[in-house]
Amino acid sequence: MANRQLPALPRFLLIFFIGVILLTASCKKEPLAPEVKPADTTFRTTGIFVLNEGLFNANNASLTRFSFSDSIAETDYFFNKNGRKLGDTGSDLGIYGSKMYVVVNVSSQVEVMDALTCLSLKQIPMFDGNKARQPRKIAFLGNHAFVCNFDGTVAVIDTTTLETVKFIQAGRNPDGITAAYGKIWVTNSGGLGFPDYDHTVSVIDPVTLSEIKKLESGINPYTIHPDNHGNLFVIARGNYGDIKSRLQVLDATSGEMKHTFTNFEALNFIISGDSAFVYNYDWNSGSSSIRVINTVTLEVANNAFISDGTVIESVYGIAADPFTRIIYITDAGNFTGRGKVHAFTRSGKKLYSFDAGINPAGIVFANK
Amino acid sequence: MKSLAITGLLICFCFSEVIAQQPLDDTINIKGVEVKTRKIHQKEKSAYPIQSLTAKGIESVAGTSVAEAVKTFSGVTLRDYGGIGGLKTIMVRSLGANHTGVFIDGVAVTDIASGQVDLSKLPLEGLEEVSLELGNASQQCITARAQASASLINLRSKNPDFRNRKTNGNLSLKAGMYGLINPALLLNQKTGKKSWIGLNLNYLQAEGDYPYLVDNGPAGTHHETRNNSDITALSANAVYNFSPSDSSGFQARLRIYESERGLPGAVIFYNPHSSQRLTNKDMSVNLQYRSDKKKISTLSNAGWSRAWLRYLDPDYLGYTSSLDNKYLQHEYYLSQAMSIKAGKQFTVSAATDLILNSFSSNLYNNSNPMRYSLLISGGVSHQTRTTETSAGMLLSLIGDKKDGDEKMQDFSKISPWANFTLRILDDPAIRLRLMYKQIFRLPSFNDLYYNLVGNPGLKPENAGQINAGLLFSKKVMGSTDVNLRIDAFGNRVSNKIIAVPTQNLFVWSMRNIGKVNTQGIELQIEADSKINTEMSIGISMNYTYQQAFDMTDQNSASYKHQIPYIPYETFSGMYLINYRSFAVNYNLLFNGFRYSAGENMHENLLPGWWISDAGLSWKTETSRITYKIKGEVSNLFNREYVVIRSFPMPGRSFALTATLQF
Repeated sequence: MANRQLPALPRFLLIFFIGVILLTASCKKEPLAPEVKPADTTFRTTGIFVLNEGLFNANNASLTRFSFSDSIAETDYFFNKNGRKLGDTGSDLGIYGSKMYVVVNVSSQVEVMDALTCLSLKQIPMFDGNKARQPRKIAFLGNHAFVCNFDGTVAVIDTTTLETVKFIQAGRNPDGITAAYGKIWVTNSGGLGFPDYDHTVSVIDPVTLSEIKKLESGINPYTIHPDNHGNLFVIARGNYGDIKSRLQVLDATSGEMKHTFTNFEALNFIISGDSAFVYNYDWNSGSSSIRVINTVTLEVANNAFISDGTVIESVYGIAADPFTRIIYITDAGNFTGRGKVHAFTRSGKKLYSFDAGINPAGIVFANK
Repeated sequence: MKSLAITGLLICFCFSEVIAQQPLDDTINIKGVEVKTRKIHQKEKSAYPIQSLTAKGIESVAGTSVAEAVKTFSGVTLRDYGGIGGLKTIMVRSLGANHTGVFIDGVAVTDIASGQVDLSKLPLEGLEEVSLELGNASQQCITARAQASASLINLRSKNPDFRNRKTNGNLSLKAGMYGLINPALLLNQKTGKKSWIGLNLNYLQAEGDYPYLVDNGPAGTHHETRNNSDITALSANAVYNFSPSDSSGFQARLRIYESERGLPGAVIFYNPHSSQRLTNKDMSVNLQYRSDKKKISTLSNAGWSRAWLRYLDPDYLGYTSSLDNKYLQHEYYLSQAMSIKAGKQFTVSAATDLILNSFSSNLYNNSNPMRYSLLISGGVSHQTRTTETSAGMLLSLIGDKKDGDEKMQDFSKISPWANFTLRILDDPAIRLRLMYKQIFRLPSFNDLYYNLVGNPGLKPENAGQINAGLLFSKKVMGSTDVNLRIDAFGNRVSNKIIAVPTQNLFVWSMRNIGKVNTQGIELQIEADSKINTEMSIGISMNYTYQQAFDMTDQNSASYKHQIPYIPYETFSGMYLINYRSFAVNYNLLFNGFRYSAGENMHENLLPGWWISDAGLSWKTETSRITYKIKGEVSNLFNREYVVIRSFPMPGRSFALTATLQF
């Protein structure tokens, strides 16, 4: 009886193997990594580095290097050069002297590399014991780099030794920094204090390395840039509710907020010459707008910068080449996929575009 | 709305009261009838897909939570954040986790805040059966609530056997790598001719400090140890059972779950520190009365539950210097269900459920929402020797309130369903089945009311499901049962609730903008064979192919792309051999490649993985006690993989379980 039934075992193995064979035969192949394609452009001068923020908790902050000599946009340039990634959520980058600095927010690091080769020189951790300080933005003055951290401090880094010299106490959740008129200006957003935002700008003395005073701004201040006529332009992001995001003008001498542009909303901007290129993204309608402000007359020079019908899906960053004065605007698309960088003339006509990584936010210009 | 709900419920209760007073001779005498033939499991003939694991299968699953059993079912994609304390939810046939209801012994486990049940909170120990159903039972007497989700996980506790002893139970201790200690006690006591009480305690503690690969290119790749992933959890259940007659029973259940765990968070390059903690304190009480007469069955339920949750982030950089959020939710529940046999061929069933949910927290803008739900279901089924046809609908009337009396939106929905089976052949048994079900999931309280993120204007997310299948079963060579099931299915999701950035990239809010079309096939093969008196073999294999495409916006880069975290292919195989006192099992699980975000580009690609678990157990019986020892290994080949991007899964680990059954 038992013997007669033993052949059942091989049959089972047969069923099992048929199952496995069916499965492996039908296995959908995993797609291979795409090849790098040259961007379609004929414009040639120097080179550009684009910092792609990446996605939160995805460790995919990256650098795109666009080289004018062969018009190739190489994404993951830092990784290709160094064999490791920048980390999680890149939030700012800057070139000072021969070095390039990338601020990596969630990884809580400042990555310093050679500005020509992109080879890492040092990774500077921003921690308070175990606790991440979450660096946000960077500015340079004298022989120091100043990095504002979300924990309310400004780290002072010696640009020669790359050692952190000091942490200066500023306000809550600083989210913007600039060096101008011999001082360091830090915007204290208090962004994590919802609904009680901060509304101050800390002024830091670069010699004593300490905060001199705090100036008043609109609530939740963010990007800050000088106009080089004695003023600082500041974005105050409001509360995402009844208080809208506005562009303001701060008198650097008196410390008074002398103007607020109340007829448009502003998310970010850049100043080039006597023009501020201000963009807004309406998160509800998903539309992008870029306007030009005359920084001397404080009047809107142009309500729609782009004049050739180029569509920006989700404007995410803006920069101006200090030499060619070309305006670069980044497009984050749907915020989870590949982004783009568009180059425009001063009159808003597109020159060329190239592909970047996920959420391209910062741009710097490499000069040999 | 509220008065209507109460009236509806009262009518239903009165009606059942009248029915319950019918003469007792309607009772079927089931006692003493011994069924000799093999019991055909519902899954082998059901008009809608049912999958189940019974005690033997459950024992061969490695791990401690129900998630480990459910992930072996076809059509299931487990979202697992890794480790014993990591959140585990499932998506069935690519529908979001909120579309799956979870029931323990007929009692719903819910979370009104997130709308999802964390399966890691439900211990596998002490269960007789874990099943997954994707449709509506046509003839059974079930609550309206059990029909209100696209799929259902049913967990059934072991029923005590008092034939030999008045006191019986189980004592077990499981110990494993990474600090796992898991003692459990099950104790049943007969308290009278018609009543018994049961107690089930399950304590679990683990460090969860497993090594993982930090996959950071040729220069940055190294191993690290997961930190802040420890957990302690206690799950306690008490049941009182009273059966006045063979066809009726009353049960009172008390469930307590308390846990404290670390949330290790995503692996962040260059920043391995994590310190967030999560504490749960849940309690529920449920009373159930069931009566099964020849013509009429009734089922009454009343329940209360409380769930308290604390989320602590000591490293938060807001000016409070740490984030300490506490959430409390309550649920009150009443349900009456019945089914009536009308003639030989018809069965009519109806149920009314009333649910009241409340929620409060210590957050700013805290709105303390409440939800009243009245669910009314009705169905008719017609049965002949070869066919079974049934159809019905669920009426849902839901109203939300905020801040005491501020009225929020009302929802009302009618959700139809229909099933059909045809027995084509008797031997081999071949059946055809067809199923259609329209259902929705309500926006959860987080979706609607959470600070900045919530959108009070959200509508329910609709899901339409169709299924067509062929079922074969055949006894071969006298002692081998072979079952084969092939199903083709399609889902349409509209008004899908998805998070989109609304104010900046840090503030995402919920919108009803998604459309998803899913098509797929499932193939299930099961074979059980008793080779001789000393040896038996069981094999079960499930394969699923599904494409779940984002159909939301033609202009979007993710249009017609596979939605995040749904692999095209999944496979699971369970192989079990029993020989004398030994049992050996090998389980294989495959998830094909998938994407972590909507755009199917290489940067978002997550590679597929194969994982094997294996176990070996030995048992011996004396007249009073059965001793059992089981060794198991999870992730036998030590594969490094992730289910969720940046959340690494444990490598190979061993565990040993000793059990005394008395």
